[in-house]
Amino acid sequence: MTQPLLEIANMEVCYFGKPVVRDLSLRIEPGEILGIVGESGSGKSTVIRAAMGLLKNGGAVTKGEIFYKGQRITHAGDRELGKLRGPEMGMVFQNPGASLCPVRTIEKQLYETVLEHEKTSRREIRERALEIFQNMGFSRGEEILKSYPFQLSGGMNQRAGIMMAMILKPTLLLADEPTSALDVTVQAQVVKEMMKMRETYGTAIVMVTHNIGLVEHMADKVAVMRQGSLVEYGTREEITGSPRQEYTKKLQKAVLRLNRGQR
Amino acid sequence: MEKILEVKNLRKTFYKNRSPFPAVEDVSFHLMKGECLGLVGESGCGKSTAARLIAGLLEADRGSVGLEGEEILGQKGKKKRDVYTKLQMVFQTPQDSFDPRRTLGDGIMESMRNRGMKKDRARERMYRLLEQVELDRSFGDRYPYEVSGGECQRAAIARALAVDPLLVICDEATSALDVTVQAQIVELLKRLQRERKLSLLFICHDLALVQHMCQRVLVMYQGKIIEQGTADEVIQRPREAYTRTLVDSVL
Amino acid sequence: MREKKTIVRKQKAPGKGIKLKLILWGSLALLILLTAAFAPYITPHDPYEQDLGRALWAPCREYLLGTDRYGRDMLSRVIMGARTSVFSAVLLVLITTVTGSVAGTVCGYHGGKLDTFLMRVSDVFLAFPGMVFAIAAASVLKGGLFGAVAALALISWPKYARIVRSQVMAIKNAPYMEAARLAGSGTVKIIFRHMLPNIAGPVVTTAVLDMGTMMMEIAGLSFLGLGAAPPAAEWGSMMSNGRSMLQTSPWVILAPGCAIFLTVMIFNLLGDTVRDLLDPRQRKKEELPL
Repeated sequence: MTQPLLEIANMEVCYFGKPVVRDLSLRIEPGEILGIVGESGSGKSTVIRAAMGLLKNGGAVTKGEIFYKGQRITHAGDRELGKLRGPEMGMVFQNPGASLCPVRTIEKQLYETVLEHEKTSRREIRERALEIFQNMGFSRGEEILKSYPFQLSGGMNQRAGIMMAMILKPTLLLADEPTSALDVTVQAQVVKEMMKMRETYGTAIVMVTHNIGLVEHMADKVAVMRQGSLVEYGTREEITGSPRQEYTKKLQKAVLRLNRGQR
Repeated sequence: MEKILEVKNLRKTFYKNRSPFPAVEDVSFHLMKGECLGLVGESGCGKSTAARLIAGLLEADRGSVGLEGEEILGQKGKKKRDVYTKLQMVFQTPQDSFDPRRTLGDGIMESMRNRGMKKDRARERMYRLLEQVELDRSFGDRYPYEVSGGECQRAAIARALAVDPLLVICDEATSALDVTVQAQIVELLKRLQRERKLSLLFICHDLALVQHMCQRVLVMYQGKIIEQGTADEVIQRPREAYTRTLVDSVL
Repeated sequence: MREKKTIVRKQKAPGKGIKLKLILWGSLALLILLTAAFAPYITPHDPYEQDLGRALWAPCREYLLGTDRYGRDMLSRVIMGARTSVFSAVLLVLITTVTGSVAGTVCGYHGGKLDTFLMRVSDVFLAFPGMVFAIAAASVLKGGLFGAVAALALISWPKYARIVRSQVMAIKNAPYMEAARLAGSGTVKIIFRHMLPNIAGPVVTTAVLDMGTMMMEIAGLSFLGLGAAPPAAEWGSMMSNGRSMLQTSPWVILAPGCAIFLTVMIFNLLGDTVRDLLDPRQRKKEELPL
C-alpha cells in the first residue's frame, strides 16, 4: 500500500474551547484532487488551516493527529512547518489581494518567497514564474510580475497567488475558496489553470469551497462537511451520481445549472 | 403591458489621472411592469455604475431615465425622495449596507420614519416585513455583525420593500453568498416578485442564475449593451462572440 | 497538549481588562475634573493670601506642600491651579474638536474647491512649527489665559480636520450611506445620524489623548508668561515663578510639576483605553473566528 500524502485521523479542532471540527478523518493520495464542500461555518476552512498550522488565534487541534508523508505534524512548531510550507505544501487564499503585501510588486515578493527556500538567481525565478503562467495558458505573465497587488483585478491577483504557491513545486496545494471572490468567467479559467497544474506537475490539491458544482467539475474525491462533521466522503462519481445523504442532495439542488438547450 | 422604466442614452465617464474612462456608454433599455430583467457582464463592465446612475446615487453625464413616464434623472430634494418611494436597491454586500451602529430594525424603519410614520406603526410594519422575508421578529433588534450574510440580505430586502416600491434594483444581491443561501434568496425574490408584482433589474455575473430568474437579459461589455433578448435566446443562441465566451465559461 | 491549554486561556476574556482600566483611569480623571470644579471649597488655605512671614516654608503639617516666596500655601495653589489648567485644556479640546470636525466633515463630504481651499489653509498651519506659531499668536492676542487658548486652538484644529476628513471620505461611499439616501434621508440627517456616530471613535480618542498635550502646551505658554497672569494660580506659571528656587526650595516647582505630570499621564492612559475600547478590531475579538 502506498503511503498517503496527507492523512488526518480523528481530528478535533477547537476555537476558544468550542469544537469547530469533530472527529474528522481524511486521506489525500499523491496527485489527487480532494474537494471539501460545506456552507459557511461548517469548519471546512479550519481543516486546511489546521493542516498548515495556520489556525487563527484561539484555535488548536485538541484531538487526533495529522501526518504529512508519514511524519506527524499535529503540534509541529513554526520552524518545522516553515520547512514544509512552500516546497511541500502550498496555500492559496480566498482573497489573494489581502494576502499579498500592498506596497511591493509581485515580482519582489516572489523573489523573497523563493529565496527563503532555495539558492537561485532572480533571473531563473523570473523565468520559472513566466513558465508557470505559460503552462497555465496565461500569456500576460510579465504584466502581473511588474504590478502592485492593488493594480490587479481579483482574477489577476488570484493567478499571482497560485503562481507564487506553485513556483516551489509543492507536492500538495491547499486552496481555500480560491474562486469564490471571482466572476464566473474568471472562475472557470482559474479552475482550468489549477487542473493543468496537476497535469503538468502532479500536484495534489485540496480545494475548499461552498459550491458543490465546482467540486463535481474538478475533484477526484469529495468530502461534504456540515457543522464540523464529515457528512459524506467518497469518489466524485459516488457523490455526484448517487449521494446517500439528504444534505448532499440539498447542496446539489442549490447549484443552478445553465440550460444551454440543444446545440 | 406597460413600460415601467425607460433608459435612454445613459452615459458616464470617469477620469483616472485625467484620461477619460467611459464606464457607461449610450446605454438604452426598458423594463416592463412585473418583469425581471437581467443585466450580465464581467466585473468592471459598468453594470453597477449603470445601476447607480439610474438610482441617482451617481450623477449621469447625459441621458434620460423615465420611471412610469416621469424623468427621474437630476432630480433634487423632495422630488428625489419621492423617486425613492418607487425605486429601491439591494446591494452586493449585505453587512456593509446596514449602519454598523444601528439595528437592522432601525435600518428598515428609516424610510418609514422619514415619511412621517409614527414610531409604533413603523415598528408594526417592520415586523410584518421581517415576516415576509421569513425572518424572526427578534432580528429587528440585532446588529448587522450579529447575523449571517443571508439573514442580513433578507433584512436588506425587507428594507427595500418598506416603501412598497414598483422597481427594485438588485446589484449582485446574491454574489457574496454561499450557493445554498444564494438559492434561498433567489427563491425569496421570485416569490416576492410574484406576490407584489414587482419589477426587478437583476444585475449579476452568473448566467445560470440570470436564466433562472429573468425573462429578458441584457449583456453589457465595456460600458455598452452588446446584446439583448429573452434569457433562453441569449444563452442558447448567442449572436455576439463575447456572449458566447461568457456562456462557454460557465462550468 | 500543554501548548493548547495556554492558548485557550489567554484568549478567554479579552474585554474584561479593558473595562477595568476604563473604570480606573476614568474615575481618576473624574477626580481631577471634580477637584477642578470644586477647587474654592476644598482648598485648606486661601491660595492668594500673602504672608511674607512664612515665605518658602518647607512642607510641614500645616502646609503639606510648603509655601512659596510670598508665603502662599502651595497645596491650595495647586488645587486652585487645577481649575485654570484643566478647564482651559477642556475648553481648548472642545473648541478644536468642534471646529476641526465641522471643517473636516464639510471638506470630506462636499469635496471640490472648498475642500481644496480649507486643506491648503490647514497645510499652512501644519507647516509652521506649532509652538512657535502659538507663541507669536499669543503675544499678539495679549489676552492672558484666553489668548493662550485661542492661539493653541488656531494651531490645533487642522489635525482634527484631517482626521475627520479622511474618516468621512472613507465611509462616504459605503453601501449603508447609499442605503440611507435611498431611504429618503437628507444630507444633514445622514451626517448626524449615520456619519458622525461612525467616525466618533477616532475623534474622541484623539481628543482624550490630546487633553494631556494641550495641558502641557497651556502650561508651556504660561511658563513663558504668555498665559495666565501672575497672581492667578496656574501650574505652568507657578513652575515658571519657582524655577529660580529649584536648588533652595524645590517644592515650589515640584508641586505644580507633579500635578502636571500626574494629570497628563492619567489623561493619556484614559485616552489609550478609550482607543482600545472604540477600536472595532478590539470588539471583533470577542466573536468566534470561523
